[in-house]
Amino acid sequence: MRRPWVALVGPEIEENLSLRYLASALSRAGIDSEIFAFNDALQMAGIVQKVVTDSPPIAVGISMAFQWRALDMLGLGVALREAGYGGHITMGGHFATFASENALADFPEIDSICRQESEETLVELVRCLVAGEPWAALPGLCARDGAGKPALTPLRHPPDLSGLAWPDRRGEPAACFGHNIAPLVSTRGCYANCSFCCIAAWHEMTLPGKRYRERPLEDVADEMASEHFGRGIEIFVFHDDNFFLPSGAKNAERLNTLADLLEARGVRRFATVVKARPTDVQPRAFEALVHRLHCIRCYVGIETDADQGLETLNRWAKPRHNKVAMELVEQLGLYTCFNVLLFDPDTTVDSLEDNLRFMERWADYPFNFGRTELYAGTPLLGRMRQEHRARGDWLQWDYRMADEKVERIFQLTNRAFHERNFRPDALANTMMSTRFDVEVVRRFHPEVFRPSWQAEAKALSRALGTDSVRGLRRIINRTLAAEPASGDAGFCDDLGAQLRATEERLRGRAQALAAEVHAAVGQGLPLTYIGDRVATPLQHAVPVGVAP
Amino acid sequence: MKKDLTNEQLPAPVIARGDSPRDRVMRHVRDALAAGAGAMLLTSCPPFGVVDPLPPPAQCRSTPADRLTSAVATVEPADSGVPSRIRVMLEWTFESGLQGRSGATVTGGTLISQSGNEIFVVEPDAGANTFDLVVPVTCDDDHSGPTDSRVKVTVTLGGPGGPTTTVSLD
Repeated sequence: MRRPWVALVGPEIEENLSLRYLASALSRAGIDSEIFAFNDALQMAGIVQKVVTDSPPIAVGISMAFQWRALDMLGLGVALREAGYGGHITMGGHFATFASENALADFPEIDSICRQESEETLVELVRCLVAGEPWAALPGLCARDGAGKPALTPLRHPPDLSGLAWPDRRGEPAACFGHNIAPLVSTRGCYANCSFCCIAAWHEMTLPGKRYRERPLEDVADEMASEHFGRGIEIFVFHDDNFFLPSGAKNAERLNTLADLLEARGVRRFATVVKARPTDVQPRAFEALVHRLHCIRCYVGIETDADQGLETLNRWAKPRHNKVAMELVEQLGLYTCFNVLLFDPDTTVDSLEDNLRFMERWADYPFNFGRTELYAGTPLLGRMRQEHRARGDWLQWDYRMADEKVERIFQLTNRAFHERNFRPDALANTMMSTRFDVEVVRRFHPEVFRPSWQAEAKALSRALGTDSVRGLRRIINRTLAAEPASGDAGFCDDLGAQLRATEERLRGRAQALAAEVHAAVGQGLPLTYIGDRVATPLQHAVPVGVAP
Repeated sequence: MKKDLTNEQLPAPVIARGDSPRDRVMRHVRDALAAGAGAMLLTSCPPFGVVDPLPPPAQCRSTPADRLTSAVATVEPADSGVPSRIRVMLEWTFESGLQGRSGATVTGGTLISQSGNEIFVVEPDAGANTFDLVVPVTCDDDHSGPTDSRVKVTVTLGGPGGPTTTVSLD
């Protein structure tokens, strides 16, 4: 008979560190686990089949980090019960933590929520389940009390990062042109506190005012060396909530120290990928990042370049910080990409124009744009509820912009641009992959690298970015001209058709570029082809319809 | 019983907020488990390599009945020659992705004609005091919200002010 085991379920497009840290914690406690990828709703039935077997797990842990996947995750709990699963169902992650009481109140299928970082909570919960002991009073949980009502137990102090087992790395890694990729974190949390950010809100719960913790750099370097020599990892994707600390001088020192430690361990042929706030982009730290840690992509969290937006989102930055950051990464030849939260509750037509100018100016770099969403636990949601402007319920909040003209612009934008910005194969996403492909070859295959590829990748980004800006301006002009709303649907259909035509043309160029690079490199596959079919062990991907 | 209907416009409908989080999740489970047959695109993650993927806006994820700004039932003009028919006009907000689907049904009457997802002409059954018009709506396939919602418009006949409408989710 199989030993008691735990099914860990969540997104696994890449190695999901949250699940894999939990798997390691369970393993250290002598508890087996399996990780089931749940990347889209179509996988629900298959996961149910894997769980409801002759030897079902003693517990199923469902990752509900993303609010927009809550339907899937709660739905899986329901589907498991309907299929007869009788074990314990627990959930965890950012959204699960903030919505824990609502989730338990509305879904009797769910037994508990592991709140906050749960390496210790989950292990203790499973130990109790295995031993048949009471578990509802364990710290870090939301469970039902004697009356069946959701009740919170005290939160734990977050775990000491230096003592955690490294994340479970079962299976083969993802790869780009045959260069293996692994995600990792060197910190948890973020020192900033943007009003819309559930990460800041989450860490504020346990470390008020500080909100971030670091791993010892020796431990990080040891893990990287282990991955490099053990699994052939060459591209390290730092998924830190924010890779940087509040002090520029400390960042430079920290990055140089990490580079020294890697060198001492013989890790030389590698590249890194990081994320930064604009205010983190400072010369000394970024010179170390590019020249010593071989960073090939830095996502810069622009979010907005409008004074109004920066204030609403509590960004701790001014437009000049965005400008300086973009100029510095450009000087360093560092590939960057960014998102723009074009719409927020207070957006004005003027602030839209501020952001359009920014998008136009920096269109050489791939970007996406959308609306600021109201995430559970965030100050922005609190504000909107206080102002009676949040519509919906705990599962999903919606709102209208204060300025009705902007609301209409948003509705038109969403209609016309949804395919470009939000589909799984959205071109805005593909462009990021194509650019990444070129940068990987620039780093690892300088002998075949052609500057014309980089120029074409930039031209593709610019063509898409400026086309988006043109489309947005048409929408704004229509609204400001007070064209009748009865014509909005037809207008969107026309604009959408033009946008789709541009996308088809640019997608063809991106595929052609990837094919040219692929032919020159002669190994592996570019991300442009693979997209969400990256061959992780849990998602054995056979590239389908690989471009020429 | 012969109805005595008047051609009157009615106030905005009562919106029933019956679409709870549990309702939406249960509907999603049904869709997801049935989707093995291959019909619809539900929620899915962005591809590998995308940094801080922007989520789609929350619209089209909450109550479709909220998208219905008015439901008005009127008696067909007498010169149509068929005075017992009722014209039901629905006005939807123009919001992302909400699409009408074919397949509107009527209980307690016969659907005579339909123009788009907005104008329906119904002939009530003889003797019926009410009929239900059920209109399927969906977010289009690019969206990840509920795909099989149905808005039910219950039309009550013969009141002192003419027919009245009540809107709910089916």
